[in-house]
Amino acid sequence: MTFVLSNPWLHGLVFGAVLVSVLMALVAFITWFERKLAGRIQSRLGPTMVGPFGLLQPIADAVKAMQKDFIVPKDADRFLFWLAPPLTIAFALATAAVIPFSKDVLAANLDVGVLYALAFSGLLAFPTWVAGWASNNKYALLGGMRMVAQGISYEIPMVMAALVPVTLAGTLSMQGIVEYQVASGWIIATPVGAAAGLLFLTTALAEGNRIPFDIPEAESELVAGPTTEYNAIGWSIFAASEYAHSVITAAIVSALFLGGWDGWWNLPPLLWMVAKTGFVFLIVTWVRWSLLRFRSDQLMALCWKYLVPGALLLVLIAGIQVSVRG
Amino acid sequence: MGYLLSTLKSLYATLRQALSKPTTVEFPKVKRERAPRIRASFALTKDAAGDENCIGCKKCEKVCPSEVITVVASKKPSPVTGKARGYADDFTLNLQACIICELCVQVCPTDAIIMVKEQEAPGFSRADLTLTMDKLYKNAETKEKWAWANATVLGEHQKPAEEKKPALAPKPVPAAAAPTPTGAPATATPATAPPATAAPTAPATAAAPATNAATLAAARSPASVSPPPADEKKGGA
Repeated sequence: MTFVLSNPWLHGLVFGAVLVSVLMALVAFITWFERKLAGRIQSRLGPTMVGPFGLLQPIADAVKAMQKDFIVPKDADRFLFWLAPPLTIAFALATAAVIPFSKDVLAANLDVGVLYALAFSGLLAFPTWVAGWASNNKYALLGGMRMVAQGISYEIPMVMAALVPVTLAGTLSMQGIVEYQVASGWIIATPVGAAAGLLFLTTALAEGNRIPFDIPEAESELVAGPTTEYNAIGWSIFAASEYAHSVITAAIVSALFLGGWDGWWNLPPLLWMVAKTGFVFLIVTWVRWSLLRFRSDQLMALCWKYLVPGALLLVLIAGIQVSVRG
Repeated sequence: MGYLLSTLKSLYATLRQALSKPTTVEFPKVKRERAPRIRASFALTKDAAGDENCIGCKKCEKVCPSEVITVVASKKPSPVTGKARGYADDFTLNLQACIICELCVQVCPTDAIIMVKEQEAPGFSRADLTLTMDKLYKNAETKEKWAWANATVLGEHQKPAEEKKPALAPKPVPAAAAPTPTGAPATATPATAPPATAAPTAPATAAAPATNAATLAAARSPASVSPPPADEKKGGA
């Protein structure tokens, strides 16, 4: 055991394998949870038929998706069309490597963890663009372009919001930020931290292509955006990567702003981290089923007129706080 | 700012909805109680002695708007009393085209055909939806399934309104044709009369039905002189 933990390669391999398996299983049941909650919000019951409370519905869906024929359109770029779904899920899951689930449960304690997470989160726009380009479909292409535009725009306030805990903690390591919060209080408890957390969550919604920022997908305008031509397991992988990205973003929000694995009553730190992640995901889902989609220009106006100046201001305040503290 | 406010509003609305009790009844597992007056299928009844009520008059066949009833009738001695009377030799009702208008039930002179509340098993073939005579008599076997009405009950309900409740809707008398004394509303209707200040013609039109109702009520039951307030309002309005 100690050999595994001391060897960085083995450590990464073991933790990575466990993390990916757990995350993918979690993503399956997260879809069940989301459908249940959406049902209750819309006066429905959600899945009820497959298994107790419809709990086995994700498995039924996965089996159905695997049985289907994966069709590649005649004039599509075959290689890129095949490449896009695995790339999407790879980028989505790669972010999970730096999330600290407790003091020891951590795949890779990078010195630049926050940067790494944000970089991979931002990279997600590329496989979406690849999918849109490779489909050889106007809707898909438009969706891909919108995804890139939105991803690039929202990357800026997102990084600046993440700069607030980085500035306060004085480190770019995720574990370091959590340890700072264990020592001197959660970042969300300070006014600037709370504002930055809210801003980060908003931009993360846009980054993850979730409603109300699902302009790339925009069912009523673009059929299904970049995933229009995808079916069967290809589409399922896109859907799974969207959920994986949502869950991981929720975990990042918990780590950066909600104190990570810090908690009370001597409960296991892992449990605290999972509970906080679940809570953030609940909020994300709740928002998704409550709000309407932004228009393209509203989206850009929100980003450049409010979020970017607001984020700049927050970074400034955090910097002043730190320099006053000495 | 307005957007922020409406965002919070919609978040609150969805939260409230999510926490409320679901209204869905999971149908195949849970069966909701049927409405008291639901009508789904038909039945042919027998009298207390076990004799068939249907006399083969073919009124239902003639009245049926979608022509789904077929009756073959003949005259023969009753198996119970021995007297000769009309019988339906064959009675078929095709539910496929039935519009559930209940007219056949209304016209039946002997309350023979009635409607029943449930048709538990849905049809899996066209033949299942054709109600033969055997099926119709079998449908009538459980009395709990009978719908609320037969021809007699429906007849009671459809009697002209004047016969049952004369004071309910008396025809407003034209103002010129009914020269009512100005004091009439005050004397005949104490408190519940409509205010007589609305329009110049209002006192006369309003007063006429009121007095009409009052006299009618007085004629029917001499003990109570003042008319019931509910009737008063309807007559005045």
